Amino acid sequence: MRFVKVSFLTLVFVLFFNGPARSATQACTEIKQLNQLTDTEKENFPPSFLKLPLFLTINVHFGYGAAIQVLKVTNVTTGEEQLKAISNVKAPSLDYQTDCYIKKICKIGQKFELVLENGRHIKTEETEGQISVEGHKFKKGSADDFIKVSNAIDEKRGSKTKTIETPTGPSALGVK
Amino acid sequence: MKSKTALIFVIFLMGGIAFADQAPMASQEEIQYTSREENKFLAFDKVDEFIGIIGRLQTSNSPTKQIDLYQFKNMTALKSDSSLCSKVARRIFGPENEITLKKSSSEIILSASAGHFCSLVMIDPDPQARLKERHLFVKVLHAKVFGFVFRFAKAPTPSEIKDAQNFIEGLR
Repeated sequence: MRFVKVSFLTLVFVLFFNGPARSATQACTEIKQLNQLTDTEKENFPPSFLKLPLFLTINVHFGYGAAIQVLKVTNVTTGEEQLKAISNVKAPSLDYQTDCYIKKICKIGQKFELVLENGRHIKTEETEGQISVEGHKFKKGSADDFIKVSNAIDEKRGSKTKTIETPTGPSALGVK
Repeated sequence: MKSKTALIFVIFLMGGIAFADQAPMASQEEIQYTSREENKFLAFDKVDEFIGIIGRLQTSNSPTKQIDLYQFKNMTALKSDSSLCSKVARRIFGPENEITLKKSSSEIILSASAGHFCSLVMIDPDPQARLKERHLFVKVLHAKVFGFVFRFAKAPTPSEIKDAQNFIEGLR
Protein backbone atom coordinates (compact mmCIF):
# COMPACT_ATOMS: atom_id res chain seq x y z
CA MET A 1 0.00 0.00 0.00
CA ARG A 2 2.82 2.28 0.98
CA PHE A 3 4.64 1.43 -2.26
CA VAL A 4 1.54 2.34 -4.29
CA LYS A 5 1.30 5.66 -2.45
CA VAL A 6 4.96 6.49 -3.10
CA SER A 7 4.64 5.50 -6.77
CA PHE A 8 1.54 7.65 -7.17
CA LEU A 9 3.28 10.65 -5.58
CA THR A 10 6.32 10.10 -7.80
CA LEU A 11 4.08 10.00 -10.87
CA VAL A 12 2.32 13.23 -9.85
CA PHE A 13 5.70 14.87 -9.21
CA VAL A 14 7.12 13.81 -12.59
CA LEU A 15 3.99 14.91 -14.48
CA PHE A 16 3.84 18.21 -12.63
CA PHE A 17 7.45 19.16 -13.35
CA ASN A 18 7.92 17.63 -16.80
CA GLY A 19 4.49 18.13 -18.27
CA PRO A 20 4.67 21.88 -18.93
CA ALA A 21 8.24 21.64 -20.26
CA ARG A 22 7.25 18.96 -22.76
CA SER A 23 4.18 20.82 -23.92
CA ALA A 24 5.98 24.21 -24.28
CA THR A 25 6.17 25.14 -27.93
CA GLN A 26 9.41 26.35 -29.43
CA ALA A 27 9.70 28.88 -32.26
CA CYS A 28 13.01 30.31 -33.43
CA THR A 29 14.00 33.32 -35.53
CA GLU A 30 17.32 33.45 -37.36
CA ILE A 31 19.05 36.81 -36.99
CA LYS A 32 19.87 38.02 -40.46
CA GLN A 33 17.96 41.08 -41.58
CA LEU A 34 16.66 42.57 -38.37
CA ASN A 35 14.70 45.35 -40.04
CA GLN A 36 12.82 42.86 -42.20
CA LEU A 37 11.40 40.77 -39.41
CA THR A 38 7.74 39.89 -39.73
CA ASP A 39 5.37 40.46 -36.81
CA THR A 40 5.29 36.71 -36.19
CA GLU A 41 9.09 36.58 -36.06
CA LYS A 42 9.17 39.53 -33.66
CA GLU A 43 6.93 37.56 -31.30
CA ASN A 44 9.84 35.15 -30.79
CA PHE A 45 11.98 38.00 -29.47
CA PRO A 46 12.11 39.01 -25.83
CA PRO A 47 10.16 42.32 -25.79
CA SER A 48 13.28 44.26 -24.71
CA PHE A 49 15.14 43.10 -27.81
CA LEU A 50 12.72 44.94 -30.08
CA LYS A 51 14.22 48.28 -29.15
CA LEU A 52 17.99 48.29 -29.36
CA PRO A 53 20.51 48.96 -28.01
CA LEU A 54 19.57 47.22 -24.80
CA PHE A 55 21.56 47.87 -21.64
CA LEU A 56 21.56 45.43 -18.74
CA THR A 57 23.43 45.90 -15.51
CA ILE A 58 24.19 44.32 -12.16
CA ASN A 59 25.84 46.88 -9.87
CA VAL A 60 29.21 45.97 -8.41
CA HIS A 61 28.77 44.53 -4.89
CA PHE A 62 31.25 42.43 -2.93
CA GLY A 63 33.53 42.33 -5.95
CA TYR A 64 30.91 41.01 -8.38
CA GLY A 65 29.12 42.95 -11.12
CA ALA A 66 28.22 42.81 -14.79
CA ALA A 67 27.09 45.02 -17.66
CA ILE A 68 25.77 43.79 -21.01
CA GLN A 69 24.91 45.75 -24.12
CA VAL A 70 22.94 44.11 -26.94
CA LEU A 71 23.21 46.06 -30.17
CA LYS A 72 22.67 45.78 -33.88
CA VAL A 73 25.67 45.61 -36.19
CA THR A 74 25.89 45.40 -39.95
CA ASN A 75 28.12 42.68 -41.31
CA VAL A 76 30.49 44.44 -43.72
CA THR A 77 30.98 41.25 -45.73
CA THR A 78 27.36 40.23 -46.25
CA GLY A 79 25.48 43.46 -45.49
CA GLU A 80 23.27 41.49 -43.10
CA GLU A 81 22.14 43.01 -39.85
CA GLN A 82 23.19 41.01 -36.83
CA LEU A 83 22.85 41.06 -33.09
CA LYS A 84 25.92 41.36 -30.94
CA ALA A 85 26.19 41.22 -27.15
CA ILE A 86 29.13 42.85 -25.45
CA SER A 87 29.73 42.31 -21.78
CA ASN A 88 31.89 43.53 -18.93
CA VAL A 89 32.11 41.16 -16.00
CA LYS A 90 33.67 41.64 -12.62
CA ALA A 91 34.74 38.79 -10.38
CA PRO A 92 36.73 39.49 -7.20
CA SER A 93 40.02 38.55 -8.81
CA LEU A 94 39.56 39.89 -12.34
CA ASP A 95 37.73 42.21 -14.72
CA TYR A 96 36.74 40.60 -17.98
CA GLN A 97 35.38 41.90 -21.27
CA THR A 98 34.04 39.91 -24.16
CA ASP A 99 31.54 39.94 -27.03
CA CYS A 100 29.60 37.45 -29.10
CA TYR A 101 27.20 37.21 -32.03
CA ILE A 102 23.64 35.97 -31.52
CA LYS A 103 22.64 33.53 -34.26
CA LYS A 104 19.00 33.02 -33.40
CA ILE A 105 16.42 33.68 -30.75
CA CYS A 106 13.91 31.07 -29.66
CA LYS A 107 10.73 31.44 -27.71
CA ILE A 108 10.03 28.43 -25.53
CA GLY A 109 6.73 28.84 -23.76
CA GLN A 110 6.98 32.16 -21.94
CA LYS A 111 10.80 32.07 -21.83
CA PHE A 112 13.45 32.88 -24.41
CA GLU A 113 16.72 31.32 -25.47
CA LEU A 114 19.53 33.09 -27.29
CA VAL A 115 21.56 30.77 -29.49
CA LEU A 116 25.06 32.09 -30.13
CA GLU A 117 27.14 31.41 -33.23
CA ASN A 118 29.32 28.97 -31.29
CA GLY A 119 26.23 26.95 -30.40
CA ARG A 120 25.91 28.13 -26.81
CA HIS A 121 22.33 28.48 -25.57
CA ILE A 122 21.56 31.30 -23.12
CA LYS A 123 18.29 31.22 -21.23
CA THR A 124 16.57 34.54 -20.57
CA GLU A 125 13.35 35.54 -18.90
CA GLU A 126 11.76 38.97 -18.72
CA THR A 127 9.83 40.53 -15.90
CA GLU A 128 8.95 44.13 -15.15
CA GLY A 129 12.20 46.15 -15.30
CA GLN A 130 14.37 43.05 -15.04
CA ILE A 131 15.82 40.40 -17.29
CA SER A 132 17.14 37.16 -15.97
CA VAL A 133 20.11 35.89 -18.01
CA GLU A 134 21.15 32.36 -17.09
CA GLY A 135 19.67 32.93 -13.66
CA HIS A 136 21.48 36.26 -13.09
CA LYS A 137 18.99 39.09 -12.53
CA PHE A 138 19.90 42.18 -14.57
CA LYS A 139 18.30 45.60 -14.36
CA LYS A 140 17.21 47.15 -17.65
CA GLY A 141 18.85 50.54 -17.87
CA SER A 142 20.29 53.27 -20.04
CA ALA A 143 23.62 53.79 -21.77
CA ASP A 144 24.63 55.86 -18.72
CA ASP A 145 23.91 52.92 -16.38
CA PHE A 146 25.99 50.66 -18.62
CA ILE A 147 28.91 53.13 -18.68
CA LYS A 148 28.68 53.66 -14.91
CA VAL A 149 28.85 49.93 -14.12
CA SER A 150 31.48 49.31 -16.82
CA ASN A 151 33.65 52.07 -15.41
CA ALA A 152 33.21 50.71 -11.89
CA ILE A 153 34.44 47.37 -13.27
CA ASP A 154 37.33 49.03 -15.11
CA GLU A 155 38.42 51.29 -12.27
CA LYS A 156 40.57 48.57 -10.72
CA ARG A 157 42.38 48.24 -14.01
CA GLY A 158 43.39 51.88 -13.70
CA SER A 159 41.59 52.99 -16.83
CA LYS A 160 38.11 54.16 -17.71
CA THR A 161 36.11 52.29 -20.34
CA LYS A 162 36.79 53.79 -23.73
CA THR A 163 35.16 51.27 -26.00
CA ILE A 164 31.56 51.89 -25.01
CA GLU A 165 29.22 52.37 -27.95
CA THR A 166 26.68 55.11 -27.43
CA PRO A 167 23.06 54.83 -28.62
CA THR A 168 23.87 57.35 -31.34
CA GLY A 169 26.77 55.30 -32.69
CA PRO A 170 26.44 53.79 -36.15
CA SER A 171 26.28 50.25 -34.83
CA ALA A 172 23.67 50.97 -32.21
CA LEU A 173 20.52 51.64 -34.20
CA GLY A 174 17.26 50.35 -32.81
CA VAL A 175 15.22 47.55 -34.38
CA LYS A 176 12.09 49.15 -35.78
CA MET B 1 24.17 41.63 14.50
CA LYS B 2 27.15 43.42 12.93
CA SER B 3 29.61 40.96 14.46
CA LYS B 4 27.51 38.06 13.14
CA THR B 5 27.65 39.52 9.61
CA ALA B 6 31.41 40.07 9.93
CA LEU B 7 31.87 36.47 11.10
CA ILE B 8 29.88 35.14 8.14
CA PHE B 9 31.96 37.32 5.82
CA VAL B 10 35.25 36.04 7.32
CA ILE B 11 34.07 32.40 7.00
CA PHE B 12 33.04 33.10 3.40
CA LEU B 13 36.45 34.68 2.71
CA MET B 14 38.33 31.78 4.32
CA GLY B 15 36.24 29.35 2.32
CA GLY B 16 37.25 31.19 -0.82
CA ILE B 17 40.92 31.03 0.10
CA ALA B 18 40.75 27.37 1.12
CA PHE B 19 39.12 26.35 -2.16
CA ALA B 20 41.03 28.66 -4.52
CA ASP B 21 41.17 27.03 -7.93
CA GLN B 22 44.31 25.50 -9.35
CA ALA B 23 45.18 25.80 -13.03
CA PRO B 24 45.27 22.37 -14.68
CA MET B 25 48.85 23.00 -15.85
CA ALA B 26 52.04 24.59 -14.60
CA SER B 27 53.61 27.71 -16.05
CA GLN B 28 57.12 29.11 -15.98
CA GLU B 29 55.45 32.41 -15.10
CA GLU B 30 53.44 33.36 -12.06
CA ILE B 31 49.78 32.91 -12.99
CA GLN B 32 46.40 33.32 -11.37
CA TYR B 33 43.63 30.97 -12.43
CA THR B 34 39.95 31.87 -12.16
CA SER B 35 37.66 28.95 -12.87
CA ARG B 36 34.27 29.41 -14.52
CA GLU B 37 32.76 28.26 -11.24
CA GLU B 38 34.03 31.33 -9.41
CA ASN B 39 31.71 33.60 -11.34
CA LYS B 40 29.37 31.73 -13.63
CA PHE B 41 28.85 34.83 -15.71
CA LEU B 42 32.41 34.54 -17.02
CA ALA B 43 31.12 31.66 -19.14
CA PHE B 44 28.19 33.74 -20.42
CA ASP B 45 29.09 33.28 -24.09
CA LYS B 46 31.35 30.26 -23.83
CA VAL B 47 30.92 26.63 -24.80
CA ASP B 48 30.96 23.90 -22.14
CA GLU B 49 34.68 23.20 -22.66
CA PHE B 50 35.60 26.66 -21.33
CA ILE B 51 37.06 26.02 -17.90
CA GLY B 52 38.42 29.39 -16.79
CA ILE B 53 40.71 32.33 -17.27
CA ILE B 54 44.46 32.47 -16.78
CA GLY B 55 45.85 35.80 -15.60
CA ARG B 56 49.56 36.45 -16.09
CA LEU B 57 50.67 38.28 -12.97
CA GLN B 58 53.98 39.56 -14.31
CA THR B 59 52.39 41.07 -17.42
CA SER B 60 50.86 44.46 -16.76
CA ASN B 61 48.38 46.26 -19.02
CA SER B 62 49.16 44.06 -21.98
CA PRO B 63 46.54 42.44 -24.21
CA THR B 64 48.32 39.15 -23.55
CA LYS B 65 47.57 39.36 -19.82
CA GLN B 66 44.32 37.35 -19.84
CA ILE B 67 43.82 34.04 -21.60
CA ASP B 68 40.60 32.06 -22.01
CA LEU B 69 41.27 28.42 -21.20
CA TYR B 70 39.42 25.46 -22.70
CA GLN B 71 39.90 21.77 -22.02
CA PHE B 72 38.57 19.14 -24.43
CA LYS B 73 38.01 16.03 -22.39
CA ASN B 74 36.38 14.16 -25.26
CA MET B 75 39.37 14.69 -27.58
CA THR B 76 42.53 12.65 -27.37
CA ALA B 77 45.76 13.49 -29.15
CA LEU B 78 49.46 12.99 -28.70
CA LYS B 79 50.45 16.16 -30.52
CA SER B 80 48.85 19.26 -31.90
CA ASP B 81 48.34 19.38 -35.69
CA SER B 82 46.26 21.47 -38.09
CA SER B 83 43.35 19.03 -38.03
CA LEU B 84 43.16 19.18 -34.23
CA CYS B 85 43.47 22.97 -34.37
CA SER B 86 40.52 23.23 -36.79
CA LYS B 87 38.46 20.86 -34.66
CA VAL B 88 39.11 22.92 -31.53
CA ALA B 89 38.42 26.21 -33.36
CA ARG B 90 35.11 24.84 -34.64
CA ARG B 91 34.09 23.90 -31.12
CA ILE B 92 35.09 27.24 -29.57
CA PHE B 93 33.92 29.65 -32.29
CA GLY B 94 31.40 27.62 -34.32
CA PRO B 95 31.48 26.19 -37.87
CA GLU B 96 33.87 28.27 -39.98
CA ASN B 97 31.49 28.92 -42.89
CA GLU B 98 28.51 29.80 -40.68
CA ILE B 99 29.99 32.33 -38.29
CA THR B 100 30.84 36.02 -38.47
CA LEU B 101 34.40 35.67 -37.18
CA LYS B 102 36.71 34.88 -40.09
CA LYS B 103 39.80 32.71 -39.99
CA SER B 104 42.76 34.72 -41.25
CA SER B 105 45.62 32.30 -40.72
CA SER B 106 46.70 29.11 -39.06
CA GLU B 107 50.13 27.64 -38.53
CA ILE B 108 52.00 24.94 -36.73
CA ILE B 109 54.68 26.24 -34.44
CA LEU B 110 57.70 24.07 -33.79
CA SER B 111 59.37 24.63 -30.50
CA ALA B 112 62.56 22.91 -29.44
CA SER B 113 61.52 23.03 -25.80
CA ALA B 114 57.76 22.57 -26.03
CA GLY B 115 57.20 20.39 -29.11
CA HIS B 116 54.42 21.19 -31.61
CA PHE B 117 51.51 23.47 -31.01
CA CYS B 118 49.25 25.22 -33.44
CA SER B 119 47.98 28.73 -33.75
CA LEU B 120 44.91 30.05 -35.52
CA VAL B 121 43.71 33.66 -35.89
CA MET B 122 40.04 34.69 -36.04
CA ILE B 123 39.10 38.23 -37.04
CA ASP B 124 35.88 40.08 -36.29
CA PRO B 125 34.94 42.03 -39.47
CA ASP B 126 32.88 44.55 -37.47
CA PRO B 127 34.87 47.82 -37.83
CA GLN B 128 33.79 48.81 -34.32
CA ALA B 129 34.50 45.45 -32.71
CA ARG B 130 36.00 45.81 -29.25
CA LEU B 131 37.82 42.51 -29.78
CA LYS B 132 39.26 42.65 -33.25
CA GLU B 133 41.35 39.49 -33.17
CA ARG B 134 41.26 36.24 -31.27
CA HIS B 135 44.42 34.12 -31.36
CA LEU B 136 43.83 30.48 -30.53
CA PHE B 137 46.68 28.19 -29.53
CA VAL B 138 46.08 24.46 -29.20
CA LYS B 139 48.50 22.47 -27.13
CA VAL B 140 48.51 18.89 -25.90
CA LEU B 141 49.72 18.54 -22.34
CA HIS B 142 49.96 15.06 -20.78
CA ALA B 143 47.69 13.72 -23.57
CA LYS B 144 45.02 16.31 -22.73
CA VAL B 145 43.91 18.83 -25.35
CA PHE B 146 43.83 22.47 -24.27
CA GLY B 147 42.79 25.59 -26.17
CA PHE B 148 44.15 29.02 -25.20
CA VAL B 149 42.51 32.15 -26.60
CA PHE B 150 44.26 35.54 -26.46
CA ARG B 151 41.89 38.40 -27.28
CA PHE B 152 43.14 41.62 -28.88
CA ALA B 153 41.33 44.97 -29.28
CA LYS B 154 43.49 45.66 -32.34
CA ALA B 155 45.92 43.69 -34.47
CA PRO B 156 48.72 42.60 -32.12
CA THR B 157 52.30 43.65 -32.68
CA PRO B 158 54.92 41.00 -33.57
CA SER B 159 56.29 41.27 -30.03
CA GLU B 160 52.84 40.67 -28.52
CA ILE B 161 52.43 37.58 -30.72
CA LYS B 162 55.88 36.37 -29.69
CA ASP B 163 55.00 37.01 -26.04
CA ALA B 164 51.83 34.91 -26.39
CA GLN B 165 53.81 32.09 -28.05
CA ASN B 166 56.46 32.20 -25.34
CA PHE B 167 53.78 31.85 -22.69
CA ILE B 168 52.29 28.80 -24.43
CA GLU B 169 55.77 27.31 -24.83
CA GLY B 170 56.36 27.70 -21.09
CA LEU B 171 53.32 25.65 -20.07
CA ARG B 172 53.94 22.17 -18.71
